[in-house]
Amino acid sequence: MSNFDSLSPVDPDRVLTYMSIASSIVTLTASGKLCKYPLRSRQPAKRRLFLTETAVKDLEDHNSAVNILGVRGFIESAMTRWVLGQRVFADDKGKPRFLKRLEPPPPEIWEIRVIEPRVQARLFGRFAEPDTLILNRFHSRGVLRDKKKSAAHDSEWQKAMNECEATWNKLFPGIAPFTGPDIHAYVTENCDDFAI
Amino acid sequence: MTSQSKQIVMTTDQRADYGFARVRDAAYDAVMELWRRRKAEGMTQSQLADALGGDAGWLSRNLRGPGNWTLKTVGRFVEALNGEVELKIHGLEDPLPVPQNYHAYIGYEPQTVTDPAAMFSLPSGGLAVAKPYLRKGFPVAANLIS
Repeated sequence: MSNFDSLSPVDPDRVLTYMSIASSIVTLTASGKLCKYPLRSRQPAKRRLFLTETAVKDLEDHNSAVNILGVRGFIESAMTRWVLGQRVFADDKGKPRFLKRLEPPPPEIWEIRVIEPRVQARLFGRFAEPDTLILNRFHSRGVLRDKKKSAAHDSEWQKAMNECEATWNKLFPGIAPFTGPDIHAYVTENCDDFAI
Repeated sequence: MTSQSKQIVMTTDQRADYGFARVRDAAYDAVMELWRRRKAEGMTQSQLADALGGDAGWLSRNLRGPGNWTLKTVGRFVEALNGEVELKIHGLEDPLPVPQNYHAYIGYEPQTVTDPAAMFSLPSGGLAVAKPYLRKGFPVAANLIS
């Protein structure tokens, strides 16, 4: 009897198989868990943006904060800007203005900032790969309130960030979000040089 | 939600906001591109402020982002940067000057094939030629430009 004969049979449920995150996105998109952002342009997409079911509901629901506060058009414009590969810009002091990584924990939560004279919005998400954002949901800046004035553990910011992480873990169990050394690892083209 | 990419309809007011934000962003990007070029040529922010009439605070606020920009803001910057505006609006259905055969979602979308057997054709020469995947119900151009 060889050594191999004494080994127990392999449980097919416990076999580790490699699935790229792109394959996971394809599967999640096919099942409706993610939705590719539909581009309103004749230009081809230069970056990728996928919305979760919650984010799509926020857009569809006439009673959602996004629609009630009248920021929908500006949010769509920001998402279009991202997908078309237009400039991810910093201000004159080198601070991020359009896209910002939030202070952890949890790590690797990013926001697209919709900064308007009236109501502002924040789009929370995580990078799956370079140039590939998985957008969890939209938040009104007024609801998130002041980061510094609220206690860190119970602030609306913290809750929103935790929710973003929880959604990610449901969609991509066991897969960490993309991490890079600088902003150019996340946004490969047309991006100002700013610290993250 | 079952579709892979569905167009969620905006109201007339939301489309107006969207159009306004897109125009404002395009103007900001265009001005900033010329400003980066002028900086590379040696122009300082102080010189730009002088060219705008000396209001350094106004300049700093407006360089941060286009949140409060108006057409007059654009005009002031264009003149101060010694530039010229060329504006073109096209129809969404107009073809691109240079046709694109790549978009960022390639490899990230479920592929729907109308006729799997038609993916490959065998010409008389004997070499199989791959045909592009086509999404059901979409014209070829729509598949190419996402």
